[in-house]
Amino acid sequence: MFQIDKRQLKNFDFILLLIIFLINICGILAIYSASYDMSDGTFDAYYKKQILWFGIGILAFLFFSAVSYKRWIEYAYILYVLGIILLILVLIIGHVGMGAQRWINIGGFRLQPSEIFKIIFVIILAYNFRDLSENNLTIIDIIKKSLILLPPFLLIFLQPDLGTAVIFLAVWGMVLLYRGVTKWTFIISLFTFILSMPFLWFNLKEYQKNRVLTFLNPERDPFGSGYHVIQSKVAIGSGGMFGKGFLQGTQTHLKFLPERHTDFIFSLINEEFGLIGGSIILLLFILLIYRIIQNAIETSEPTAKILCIAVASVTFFQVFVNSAMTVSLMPVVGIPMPFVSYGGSSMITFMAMMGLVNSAKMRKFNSPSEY
Amino acid sequence: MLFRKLEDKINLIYNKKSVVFFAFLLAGFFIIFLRLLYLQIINYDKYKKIADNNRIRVVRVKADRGFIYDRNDNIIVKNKPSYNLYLVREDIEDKNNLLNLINQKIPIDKELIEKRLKKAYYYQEVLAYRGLTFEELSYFSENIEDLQGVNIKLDPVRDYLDSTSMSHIIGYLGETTEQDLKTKQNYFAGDLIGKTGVEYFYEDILRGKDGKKFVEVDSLGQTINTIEFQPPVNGKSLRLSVDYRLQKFAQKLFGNKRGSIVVEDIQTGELILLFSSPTYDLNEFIPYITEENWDKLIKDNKKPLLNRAIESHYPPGSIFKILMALIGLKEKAITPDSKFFCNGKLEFGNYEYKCWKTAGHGDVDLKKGISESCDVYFYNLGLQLGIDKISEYAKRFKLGEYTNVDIPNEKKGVFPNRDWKKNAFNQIWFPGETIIASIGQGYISVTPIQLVNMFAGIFNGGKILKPHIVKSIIDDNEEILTKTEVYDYITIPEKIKKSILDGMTEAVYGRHGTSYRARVESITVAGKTGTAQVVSLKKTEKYDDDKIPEKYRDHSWFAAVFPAEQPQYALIAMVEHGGSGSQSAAALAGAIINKMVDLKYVSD
Repeated sequence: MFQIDKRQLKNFDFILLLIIFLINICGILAIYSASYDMSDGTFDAYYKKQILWFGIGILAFLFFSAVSYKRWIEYAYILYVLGIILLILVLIIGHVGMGAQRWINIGGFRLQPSEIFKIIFVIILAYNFRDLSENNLTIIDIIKKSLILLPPFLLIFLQPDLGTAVIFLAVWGMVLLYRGVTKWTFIISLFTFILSMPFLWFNLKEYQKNRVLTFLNPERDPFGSGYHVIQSKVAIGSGGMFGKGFLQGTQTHLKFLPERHTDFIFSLINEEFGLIGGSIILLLFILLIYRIIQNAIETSEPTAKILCIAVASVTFFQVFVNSAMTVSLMPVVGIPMPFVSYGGSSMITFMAMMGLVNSAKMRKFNSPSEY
Repeated sequence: MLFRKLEDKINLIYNKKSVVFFAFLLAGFFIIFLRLLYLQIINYDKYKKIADNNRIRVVRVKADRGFIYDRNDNIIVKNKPSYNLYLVREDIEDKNNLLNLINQKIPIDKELIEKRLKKAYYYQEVLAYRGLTFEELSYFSENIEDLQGVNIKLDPVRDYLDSTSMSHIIGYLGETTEQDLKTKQNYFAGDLIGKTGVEYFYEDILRGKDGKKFVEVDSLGQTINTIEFQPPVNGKSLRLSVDYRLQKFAQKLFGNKRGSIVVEDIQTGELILLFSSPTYDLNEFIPYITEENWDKLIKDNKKPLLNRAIESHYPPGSIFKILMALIGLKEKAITPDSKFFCNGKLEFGNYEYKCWKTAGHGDVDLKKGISESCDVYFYNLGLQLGIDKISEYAKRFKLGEYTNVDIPNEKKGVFPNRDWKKNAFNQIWFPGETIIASIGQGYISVTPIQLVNMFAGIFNGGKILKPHIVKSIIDDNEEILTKTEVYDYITIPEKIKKSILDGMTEAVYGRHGTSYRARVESITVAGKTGTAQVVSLKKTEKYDDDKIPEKYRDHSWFAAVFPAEQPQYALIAMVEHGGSGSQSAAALAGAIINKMVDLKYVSD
């Protein structure tokens, strides 16, 4: 199972790991601040738990680095089927929280199958799109390729977890474009997508519609879903260039801002560290994604290329959607910021995916013929 | 070698694509960066100011609930101030201590408040107590500095012109339930919402739309300054079609009796009177109903909360003969002159179906059949028509169907037909059951409002209307009348209407008429009594009503249309256990009609 030789160790991506470390340190500091209760000076245990999750994440990273990514790709369909079963299971026996059914309780631990499925998804994409021949994909090809997208997309949509479902769609779309489509296919697909919007709208839950409407006009519901957006904007805007200082964020600490350790952690960073702090986070993610794409370029093995592109896409979309929502560029959806938002499932998922990228990097000298 | 070359080419293409891909993602990050720049640098001053004044809160400004008028401009329901105690979670320092402090002065439901506080939005005001007395109000106002987290606010409650005579129409308000909060928008825990009556039915119209205020608060959470105000849109008012004076009068007439009385304008479907007895006191719900009072209300075996005019159904008894007459004439089964012979009973199969008059009525034509309420006449007519015809007409007249009157909780009752019996008992329909149904007994069970609406339909020329109790909605000086809705149209020639009216007039004024108690002095009334059996007593034996225990006494019905020359109103009176129709219900109806003459509704 573990096939490690010296050549592989030489290619171990320490820079990737370093960037991940830096992002995590920022995250832990932010969660530490979010755990701080200004009124009585006490701390919640969130940051301690996050450090623990990070530790477990490192193990996941090393494990996925050590195992050849090709192993996973060989068993892509088995993994896929198992993942789909988990997603169906969550709809049947899942734990209901905040109006959605997203978790399965396993001995006190809450497993979020849609998070785990992200790992499976990048693997199945790598397998499914591995044929990098030159001719571009036609409509028929796209329909065939969408067969792997639709089951997880619909199952997650039903939970309902619109945000995560859209991430899957977007990542699939990015890989599809990367693989290349004909011009007409692109135009027709875009057209179909736009036409399907009303259909999508009527299938949204009432609260989801409200979020979208509130996004378009936050003043519409200042007590309900508009509250988050207004408070988040105030927190970020009042941070200014340099921020109010560590543990000094008045908006976040006076409990004006809800969910400040999870979905709105980016608002806290911007309030306490200002534009500088926010930009540093963005910059670190740019570096991370740059590093992943560099790996995609260096390897000439098709599945590794797609794998890296898919991981870069997931990372990008989650960072983008999360930060866009805190700065009121998108409706509020429950998408965490990778490594920065508090949460175990997300941490392990992303560390595992980075492990996959590292695994590809360590084996970049493998030629396609070896697959 | 060739393979190597191909691979190089593919790598070249995809490496180029990778660069484009990265550039695309970079653009995404750049958008976020620009947005941060916009918020943190360009709009810094604005957000800084808001954050510095982070004691600015958004406060809901409740809209005033609309008033309710009667048809003559009497204000039946308006609002009066009530002082409520609210809590703000974020301002509270020691919740237990605070709740205990408050509890020393007023009885609060700590468990409920804690639940609400937990669910509350940030800085949302959570209702803790409704209706502070002046003494309590001054106590809390004086000690507000020691009670951090407490807000006292004026929140209007209903103020009734008469808290009993119109309770079933108006309905009471109560706090929103969990279900309300889930299904309705913009309601919060502790909000008042219509639970019954027009308060429930017209909730959306009466309620209006809440406004909001951005206010600055001091360290105690008390408002010191209003920064921005978006005014609420107050609720619209309702004008009822009922006449308060008649309601009041009906209440007096009923006294301790149970039952209901309804008067409908036969052309418009407006309900001029809708009274159900016994009634209850709406003031018991102000500012909130105590558990004790509520228990008393729902456990009262007189069922005061029940709106007997629309929620109770009974066999209509002989009143139903009027519809039978109409069907007979319409279907040409009889003419007004057709005669049936009554010797006191009808033998059919192995059974004898008795007439209420043991000695028999002799030769009976339509006029006599109606005025003396001969059962044998209608037994014969029923057998000629058959249940299918009868139930078809009954359905069109909405007997055993919802009339969809604009008060909630209407019940349907039953009007049987073959399918209904098949479903209910898995049995075929027996002709004997048609005989029983012909005099309004058996499985038939209808509400007073269905009957009054049926009479309206028969005497307005065949328009089956949707009855309504709200005459108009009043909105900023504009009054929008409720449209008269017509469900169905049955052509009823003037001749047929006249023949039935003749019979009904004879019932009131004839020598042998059953309805003489409904006579009034200045106008002519056409009427029909009915008696709904509660237990099967042998019709042959004469019982003195006063000697039967009340709960075994029959229900007493009376239907009237007036003035008989050109009917304008239909009336149904029903007295539960009132004995035969000719007694209590007819007398009640007569008094109401007299009052309506006094009030100039009708004149000779």
